Amino acid sequence: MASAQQAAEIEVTEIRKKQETDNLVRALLDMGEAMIGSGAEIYRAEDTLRRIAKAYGASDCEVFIITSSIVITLELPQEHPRTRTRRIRKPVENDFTKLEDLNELSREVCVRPIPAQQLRQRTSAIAGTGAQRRGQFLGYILASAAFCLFFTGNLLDALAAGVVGAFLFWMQICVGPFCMNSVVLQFLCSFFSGIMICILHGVFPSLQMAKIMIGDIMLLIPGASFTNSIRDVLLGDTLSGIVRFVEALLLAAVLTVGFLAAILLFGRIF
Amino acid sequence: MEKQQIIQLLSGAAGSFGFGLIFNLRKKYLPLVAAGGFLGWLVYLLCSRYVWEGVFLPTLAASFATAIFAEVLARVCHAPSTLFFLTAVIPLVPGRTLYYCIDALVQNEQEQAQRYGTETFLYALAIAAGMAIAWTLCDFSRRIGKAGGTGSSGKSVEPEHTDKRRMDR
Repeated sequence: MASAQQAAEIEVTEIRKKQETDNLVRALLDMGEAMIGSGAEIYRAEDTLRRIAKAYGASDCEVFIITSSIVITLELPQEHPRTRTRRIRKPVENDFTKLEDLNELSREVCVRPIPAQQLRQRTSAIAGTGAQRRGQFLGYILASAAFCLFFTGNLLDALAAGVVGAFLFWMQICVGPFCMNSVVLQFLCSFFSGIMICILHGVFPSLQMAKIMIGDIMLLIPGASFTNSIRDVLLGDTLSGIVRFVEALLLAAVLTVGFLAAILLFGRIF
Repeated sequence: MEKQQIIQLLSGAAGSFGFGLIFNLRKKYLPLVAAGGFLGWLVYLLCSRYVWEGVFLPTLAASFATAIFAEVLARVCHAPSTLFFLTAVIPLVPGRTLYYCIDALVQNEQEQAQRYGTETFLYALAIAAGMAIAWTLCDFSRRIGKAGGTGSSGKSVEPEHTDKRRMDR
């Protein structure tokens, strides 16, 4: 009787252990996805996951991440290794507060591991916080106006560029979710902001169309993803680097086409 | 220094600040990245005026300076250096030449379009090269520092981890 009870207890603890391991793998996947989604380099995400796994007592942990997928094989002592993959479909949206919070969380659990379930909750709590829309709104206006001045526009041009910047923000927030992918959104953004600038120029002929456009191109140009792709290559993740590089090139090409179409169709009319 | 260049320095800093807001950077870092944008453009202006002609080398120097600045900030603030570099490097991004390339395409001037297109690529390449050089140097210094400090070889020293982080291993 006693031995049966013992056996049952052992079984229960076995199941618990398995669940715990399952949760840990899921927590790692969540963490990786959140980091990649907020603009981390591949290397940083891989390294973080490996460290967390070590801190939780893994005897072996292999992590392989490319921009669109995570593969983790985790082996804890006296357990079968397990592998899970996760496909990442969400486009990267740079959010540096999130990235830093995740970084801090990972440091914290490396020193003092918390239960995997709790780690998952805290990760999703960080990942779920939306960016500060008001700050971003101001950022779009400020950046486009500033770069209009930067490239020798005058104050009125900067004002117009700021208005178009606000429009671009609205596009990202309200039209973005309905777009198939970032390339389509980029095309719509550049095309419609190009049209808008042509119309502004038509209504107020004293505005310099070129300077306003440059100010707003600076918002759309994929400088960040280009830089990130180079970083990935430098860190040895050539494959991911190439993927991101091609994405950046595509976005730049689409940006060109969008403005080109807008100017060709509307630049002459107004 | 002329008025236009002062405007450029200030508006470049404002632009970096704006991108900091767009990327949802912590508020306390915003003035720092604005300073980074200012610094990068200052280096560009000084180099293009006194040292080299053309766009490639001045941009490279400016990108290098910005990357070093970002690395220093990363170590001081215990945060990834990407945060600082991506926002501070924005004034160097070749939006102007890309526009002129589009403009030339509109006017159907192939030669001009090609010239500006090439220039855009040169800017981008220079940013990448400057960053790569700065980064490699920082990584070297870190490895050498670690090898000297603990006596171990520089094996598997990861970039930009603070001392805090190294304790966990």
